[in-house]
Amino acid sequence: MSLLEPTPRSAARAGFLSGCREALGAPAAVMSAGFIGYGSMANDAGIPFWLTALATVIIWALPGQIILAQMYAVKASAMAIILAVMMSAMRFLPTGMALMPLIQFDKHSLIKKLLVSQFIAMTSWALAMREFPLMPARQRGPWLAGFGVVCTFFGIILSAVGYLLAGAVPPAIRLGLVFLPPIYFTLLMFGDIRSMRMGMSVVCGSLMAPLVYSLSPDWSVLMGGVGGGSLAYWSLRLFKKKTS
Amino acid sequence: MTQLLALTVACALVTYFWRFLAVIFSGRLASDSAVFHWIECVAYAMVAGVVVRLVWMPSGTLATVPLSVRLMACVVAVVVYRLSGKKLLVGMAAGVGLFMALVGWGIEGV
Repeated sequence: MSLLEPTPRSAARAGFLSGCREALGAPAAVMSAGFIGYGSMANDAGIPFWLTALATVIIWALPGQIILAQMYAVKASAMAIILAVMMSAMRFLPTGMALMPLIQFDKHSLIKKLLVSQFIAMTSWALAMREFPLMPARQRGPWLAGFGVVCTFFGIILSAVGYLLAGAVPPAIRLGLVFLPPIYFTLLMFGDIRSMRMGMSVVCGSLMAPLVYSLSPDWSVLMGGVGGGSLAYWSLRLFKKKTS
Repeated sequence: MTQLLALTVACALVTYFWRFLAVIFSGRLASDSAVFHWIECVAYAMVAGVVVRLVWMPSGTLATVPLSVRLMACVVAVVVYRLSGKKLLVGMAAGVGLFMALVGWGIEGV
C-alpha cells in the first residue's frame, strides 16, 4: 500500500464525516419540516414525548411513524396498526437490496451490515444512490452511518420542537403544524408523479382509501394500500399486454 | 403507556424486518422483478391513502377545520410547489401558511 492510498480506518472516517456533512444540507431542511409536523401530530394524538422520540430512533421511517400516530389517535387495534406499519415499510426490501451490494464491507461483517441497514430510509436511499458512485466502495458504509446518525439526531430535536410548539402556540398555528405531514406527503405523492406506476398507484390508493374506510376503519390503511397497490399493478400489466 | 411502548417497539421490529431481509437477500435476488414492482405500487398506494384520510376525514383537532380549508391548502401547496421548480419547502410554506391564515381568521367552510 502506498503512502497516498488511504488506510481503511481513514477511509472510514472520511466516509463517515462526508455522510454527516451531507445530512446538514438541503434534504435535512426538507426532513425537518416533516419531523416538526410529526412532533405536533404526536402531541395531538396524545402520545407522550419520550415515546415520540423513541419512535423516531427505533422505527426511523416517517410514513410508519405517521401511521402509528394517526391510527393510535383513532384507537385502531394493535394488530391493525402493526400490520399497516409493516406493509408501509415493505418498500425497504427492494430499496435495501439495491443499496447494500454497493457497500464494501470487511469479511465477516454481518453485524456491521445489520447495523448500517437501520439507516435505510427513503431520503437516505435516494441520496445514497446519487452519491455512492462518486466515492470509494469502502467509504459508503460509514457514509450511510454518518448520514443516518446525524439525521436521527436532528429528527429527535425537530420532533421535540414540533411537540413543544404544538402545546405553546395559538390554535391556528398549532393546527397548521399538525397539518404539516399531510401537506408534506401530498407534495411527495401528488406533486411529483415520476412514472406511470407511481401515478396509477397514487390514484388507486386515493380512491380505495375512502371505500375501504366504510368497510372497516380499523383495517382501512392496510386494505387500501394492498388493494389499491394491487389494482394499480394489475391494471398496468393488463394495459401493457394489450398495447404490446 | 406500557401498551403504547410495546406497540412502538413492535412497529420498529416489523419495520426493521424488511431491512434485515434486504441484508440477507442482497445480491441474491434481482431487485427489478415483478414482485418489487408490486411492492412499489403498494407503498405508493398506502401513503396516498393515508394522505387522503388525513385530508378528507381527519381525526382529532384537524376535524374542526372545514374540509374546504384543508383541500384548498393542499391544492395551493401543490400549485406553488410546481411553480417554484419543485421546491418542497416553498410548497409546504405556502400550503401551511394559507391553512394557518384561514384558520386564524376563523374562515368557515365556503
